[in-house]
Amino acid sequence: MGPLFSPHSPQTNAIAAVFSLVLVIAAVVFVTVAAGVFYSVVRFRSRGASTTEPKQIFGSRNLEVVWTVGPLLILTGLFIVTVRAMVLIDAPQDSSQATDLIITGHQWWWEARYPNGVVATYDIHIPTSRRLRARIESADVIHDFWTPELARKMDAVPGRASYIWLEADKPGNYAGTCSEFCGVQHAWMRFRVLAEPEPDFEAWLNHEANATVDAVLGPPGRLFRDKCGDCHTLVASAPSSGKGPGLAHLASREFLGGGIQRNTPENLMLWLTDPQAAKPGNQMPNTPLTAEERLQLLGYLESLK
Amino acid sequence: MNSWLCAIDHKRIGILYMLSALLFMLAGGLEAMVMRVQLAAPNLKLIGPETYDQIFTMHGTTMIFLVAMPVLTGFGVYLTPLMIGANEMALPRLGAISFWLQFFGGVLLYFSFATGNAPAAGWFSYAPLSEKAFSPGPGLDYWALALLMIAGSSIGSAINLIVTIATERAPGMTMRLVPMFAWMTLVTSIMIVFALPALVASLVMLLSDRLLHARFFDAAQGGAPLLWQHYFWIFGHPEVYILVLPAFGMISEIIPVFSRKPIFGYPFVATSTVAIAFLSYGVWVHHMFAVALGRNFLAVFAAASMLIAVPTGMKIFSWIATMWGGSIRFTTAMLFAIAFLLEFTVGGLSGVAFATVPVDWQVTDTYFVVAHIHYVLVGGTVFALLAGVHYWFPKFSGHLLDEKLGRWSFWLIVLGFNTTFFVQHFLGLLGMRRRVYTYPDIPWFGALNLISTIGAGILVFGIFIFLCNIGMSLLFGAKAEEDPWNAWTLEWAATSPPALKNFAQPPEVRSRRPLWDRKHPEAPDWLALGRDA
Amino acid sequence: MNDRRNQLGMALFLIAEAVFFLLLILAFIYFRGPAPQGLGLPISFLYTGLLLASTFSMWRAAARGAAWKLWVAITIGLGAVFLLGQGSGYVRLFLDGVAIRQSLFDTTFFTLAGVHALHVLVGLIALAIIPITAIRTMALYWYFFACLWLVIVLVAYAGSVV
Repeated sequence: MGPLFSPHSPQTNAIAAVFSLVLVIAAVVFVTVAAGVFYSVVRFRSRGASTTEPKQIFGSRNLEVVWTVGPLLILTGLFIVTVRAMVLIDAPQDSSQATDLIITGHQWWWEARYPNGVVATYDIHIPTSRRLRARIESADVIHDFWTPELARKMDAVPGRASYIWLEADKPGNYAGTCSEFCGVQHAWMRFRVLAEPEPDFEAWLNHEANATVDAVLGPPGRLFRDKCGDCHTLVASAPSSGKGPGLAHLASREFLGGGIQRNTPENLMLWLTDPQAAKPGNQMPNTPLTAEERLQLLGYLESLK
Repeated sequence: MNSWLCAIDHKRIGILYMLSALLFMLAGGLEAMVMRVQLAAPNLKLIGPETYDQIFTMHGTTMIFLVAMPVLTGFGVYLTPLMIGANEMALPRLGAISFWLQFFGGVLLYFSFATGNAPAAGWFSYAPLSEKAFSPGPGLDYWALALLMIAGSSIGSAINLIVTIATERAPGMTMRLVPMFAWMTLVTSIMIVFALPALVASLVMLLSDRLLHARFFDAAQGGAPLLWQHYFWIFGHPEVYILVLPAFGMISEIIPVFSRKPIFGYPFVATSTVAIAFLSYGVWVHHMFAVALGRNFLAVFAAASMLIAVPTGMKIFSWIATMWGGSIRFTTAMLFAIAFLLEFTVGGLSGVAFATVPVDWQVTDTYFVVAHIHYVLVGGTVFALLAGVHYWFPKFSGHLLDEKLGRWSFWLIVLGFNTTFFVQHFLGLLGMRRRVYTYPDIPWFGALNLISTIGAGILVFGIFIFLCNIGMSLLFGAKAEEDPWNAWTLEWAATSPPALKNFAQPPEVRSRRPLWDRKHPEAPDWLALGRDA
Repeated sequence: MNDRRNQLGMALFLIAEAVFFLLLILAFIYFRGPAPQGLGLPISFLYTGLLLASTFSMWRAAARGAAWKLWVAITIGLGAVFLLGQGSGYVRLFLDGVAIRQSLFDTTFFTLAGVHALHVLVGLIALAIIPITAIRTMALYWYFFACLWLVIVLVAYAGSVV
């Protein structure tokens, strides 16, 4: 089912446990109120056209005390559970401690920068069985980094750095999405966290760090560099331009445009022809290209596995 | 026509507020239906994101500022003088100008649609998205200017209500004897005086940024986006209690009359209302739990947010205790009041979920929030208003509403409302975020959204029946006497509708239920309670 | 009786204004930074003094004696001198490039001063047209905005000196 029912980290497990407690309290309170309402409504309905008024009762101090102190006790218990869970879940916000990952939100994509300079776009790799401290930042407006199975939500506020624990208890692909309204394409600012065993993660990280532009460049690559290179990088080892998402391994991605379309040649061609039709409101200009150039670029991008 | 446009009589002004709210409710409802249709299935493209974003922004802004606040003000302005035995509000011309300021604020806001650029940053317009750099069109300027007018209107009517209750009460009506609706209106009005200026400050700062290139919220220039959030929510949280306390007041009048018992524990209900008012200024950060503000700081607001549930919950128990041992008559007004108890409890409980910070860290900004706000604002405030309309309509119009149509509308509205919004709790828990114009085909998203949309259709039909009831009643309805419900507060001593001068002589007041005392000279309240009411 | 209602209404309105200005002042303090050159410390205190002096003439007018109109005129005069004097100083600054967009100090300070000035202007217009029955109510408004200016000056200038 949903995020609260499939936790895959100590943090989200703690949240799920607290939620279960809240659910129980809510159920008990609701049943009590409903019972009171339904009983009154049945037992004390007006019988026939009686004109005598029932006994006029104005209040009861004892009852008032009971239904003030009772909820107060329940909520105090809930508060204690809340604070303990917060301590467990929350990462230190201290900028001097080690940061394993810097995650930046843009309108409308996510990218993650590793200590060795690798910049991953859309698919964020992490090792399993190790807890990372990730810094959440924004390049423009307020976003929110949310991968419900692994971590709490954290607002990405421009001008501020915020930290979360990011870890997964087993390998897998974990969906994530922006969770603070950030403009016209907030709906399609999705990402994935790919958790893999430590050796696989290290191998991926090294491979990406050593990928060079020459290794992927060729004549169509030069066309790309001229027309698209201002905003888009081709390898994860290149620093992000900040103007557009990196396209390393584009052909291996499941979706385009933060989740708005499946990654098919037809959909990719749409991006080359009319970016506004592909993702209305996004910031990619419609670069003038001939049909021939478009085909060349399409072929080239499809080769970036 | 002229007598309505130039009216300063509080009854006319009250009706004007209600009519204005009705008009904007149709607009806000249409906006809601467009959204629900767009969301009925995954990946629909009936409207694009630019349009959708304008619609959800206008829906929220309309419903809160042009429907809920005005209609509650309308009831307050109409009923307060009657309930306290006065003939007029203290500052009648201020009352008139407040109404028209609100109405023209609404017209200004809706004019933005004509420019093709309605505001599109959400009803609470976070910076820096609301800055010129990210929202270049004039939509937000219209939004801010319109809201400045509406805020001014609200402060004006609040001042009028406070002065009226302070200076115009009938002889014998001490502050401890005012009817619960008047008391709630007073507390709400004081809250407005302290909360709406925070909205005004926020809007002045936003307009400075947008039009004069100031730097209040512009992070790139050293400003602080979070300052907007703090200032807005310092207004925004008390605002939601401003929206619900008058509703509590209505329920506190209706349940006693149809249970044939006085409200249980008047002093506690009154005091807990003041507690809610104070506490409501200390919880605003719970709208910002997903921001890294520091654990201890957040914990304080979590505690306050949980604490405020106590005086709120007390009232639910008081209302049940009022029914207990009574002789309950199931008029349409009472049906809505009873439904209110259950719906508002659901909304309040989901609120407790949000106060639990770690849970908030998963469900904030999802449909779980949308469910919560609609359960408290629709299941709460609107249901109380529906009860209030059915209760006071005979007084306002001199006609009775049809009970059969009332029942039909009641069951349709209850069915429609719960179908629409209960499933949204699940959508939120499954991970559907709010403010998205469409969503991918994730398991259950499509099915639950479709159910929600169907529910919305049923709700609209129920409201349509309700409006038909009103229309037909005004044209053909049975004549209403002064006191069709055998009630106890002073408005039922006036004619239906009241004459221009409400009371020929100031009524005699010795307890909270002056008409009960008149009808039961052998057992008046002031005797039963002794001097200590 | 009307007077009681109107004065209570005005008092409540001024409470709302106080909350509004408090938030602007807090924003100013939050963003505190170096004041620009030439904000005109000494001359500002002169104009502030004139505004405070106008509270005396306002008080005399509110006594509703035979010469109340004269005292109102004096109040308007002092208020106008304040606006023109303080305003011309700012105009000079604007011409020098200091502006609301320039820095955080300017943003918060000029918003504060500007909104206050608008209220003084409205006050002057009101004083020019109200009948004697409203003078006590108007006096409350006037005292409030004079004292508020003192607070703004102290916070703004003290903050930049310290």
